[in-house]
Amino acid sequence: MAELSVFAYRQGNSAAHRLDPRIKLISISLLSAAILAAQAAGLFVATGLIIGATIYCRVSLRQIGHELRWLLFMLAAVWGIRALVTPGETLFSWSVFSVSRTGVLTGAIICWRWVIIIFLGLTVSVTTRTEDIRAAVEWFLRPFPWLSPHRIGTMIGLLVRFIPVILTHAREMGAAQRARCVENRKNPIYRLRVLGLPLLRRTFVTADHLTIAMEARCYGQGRTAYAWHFGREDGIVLVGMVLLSSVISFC
Amino acid sequence: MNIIEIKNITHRFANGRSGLNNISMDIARGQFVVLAGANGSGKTTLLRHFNGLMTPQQGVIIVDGVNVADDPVRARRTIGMVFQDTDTQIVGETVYDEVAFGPENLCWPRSVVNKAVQTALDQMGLVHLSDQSPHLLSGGERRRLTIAGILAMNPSVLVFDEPFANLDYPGVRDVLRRIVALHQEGHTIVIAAHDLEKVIAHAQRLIILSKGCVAADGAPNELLPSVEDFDIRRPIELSFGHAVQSWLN
Repeated sequence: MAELSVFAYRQGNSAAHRLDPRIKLISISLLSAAILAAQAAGLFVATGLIIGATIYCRVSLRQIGHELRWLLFMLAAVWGIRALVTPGETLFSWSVFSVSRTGVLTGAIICWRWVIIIFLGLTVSVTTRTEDIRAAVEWFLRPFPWLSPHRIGTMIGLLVRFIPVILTHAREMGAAQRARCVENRKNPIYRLRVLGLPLLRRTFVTADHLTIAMEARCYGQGRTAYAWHFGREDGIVLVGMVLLSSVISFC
Repeated sequence: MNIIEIKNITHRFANGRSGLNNISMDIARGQFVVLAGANGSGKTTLLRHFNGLMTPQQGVIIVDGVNVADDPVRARRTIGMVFQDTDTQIVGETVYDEVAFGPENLCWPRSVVNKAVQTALDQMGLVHLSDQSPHLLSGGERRRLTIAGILAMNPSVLVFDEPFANLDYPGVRDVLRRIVALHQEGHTIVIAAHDLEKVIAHAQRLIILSKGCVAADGAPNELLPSVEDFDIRRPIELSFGHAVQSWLN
């Protein structure tokens, strides 16, 4: 039995679960755009909102930190580089390196924005089934006749569905290689090759099998239409999100 | 009346290797058939011809009176196929979505899809897990889920490719009990297996494949004494002079 990713859908019947997935996607897009344009005051408002949403979704902060540790390292690196390369009043310097106050502040704002956007995505992903996201993406792509919304929607659904399977395969292969002392090989390129190539091969074989299994169940262009349920609550949330985005971006 | 008629089919793979060699057989409606053979004997290749997932270079397959080549979608509705590896056939993010996948592909109205899914989940004892992620189910539950995904499409024939692979003893018994129940409800059952012990007590017919040909075809009791000639393990009870026991007893 596998572990559930912190980003995986969690069963529930909260207002966030019941919300129309199209409204959720519009809301996340509006809020993300507003957060990218916001300064410190707006980010404080967004942070308060996102802390409330995370508590509401009952997601463990420790688990989030563990799963996103590499991303957090990357953001820390972005912050550090920003602090080093941005000109301005020097906070302190060592040898050829100097850290500017402007760099520290702009780096912090950039990383803060991304952390909020990641948490925003998390609150949507834990309260929305992939099937609902797929249907919403298909709905938004419908006006573009040169795209195939049905295929793009299916690809999104399969991608989300198969991430845990691929991660499980990677864990199994990693464990099997550690059992044969791969850790004694210090060359990271060698280790990447011996893990990456078999994993890719297995992923492609899995994709082949999946195609056959889908064909066996009559997968084709036409499918039963998704049952939309746009209600009064959805309208209120949409208006609220437009107002909130305006507040965040202009603060 | 035969639900599947196979007439002289031959299949050769792209690399030139022979998969099936002039195979003919009929499967009667409601029959419980076990298709046995060593690895590489052609079991999976033959099963994939039943519903047009593979096409023969020669010969014809007729399902319920219609040539599979003329209408493969009809064949896929009539013959539900459960594959060996559950991980590579589950597409839904929840148990419900997974079972609804087939009926939605058939463009059934939403109310009919919902009813078909509920019935299939109920038959496989998975109703309480309908919002669960399939990735978190046990091996036996996942196998039952794949069967539910097929049952929701209301097929007449259920084809299982190594259904007991990677299952523990309770898992084997659970899946076997449900397969036997489906047969008693009137479904035609075809099971491909290399280990006969778990299922043969329930079979009405045993077909042995060897090197892409039908090596033997008949009643299990008649063929079991000689199965080791075809690299298939004989059930242990026969070595002690006993009849083969069901794993459900």
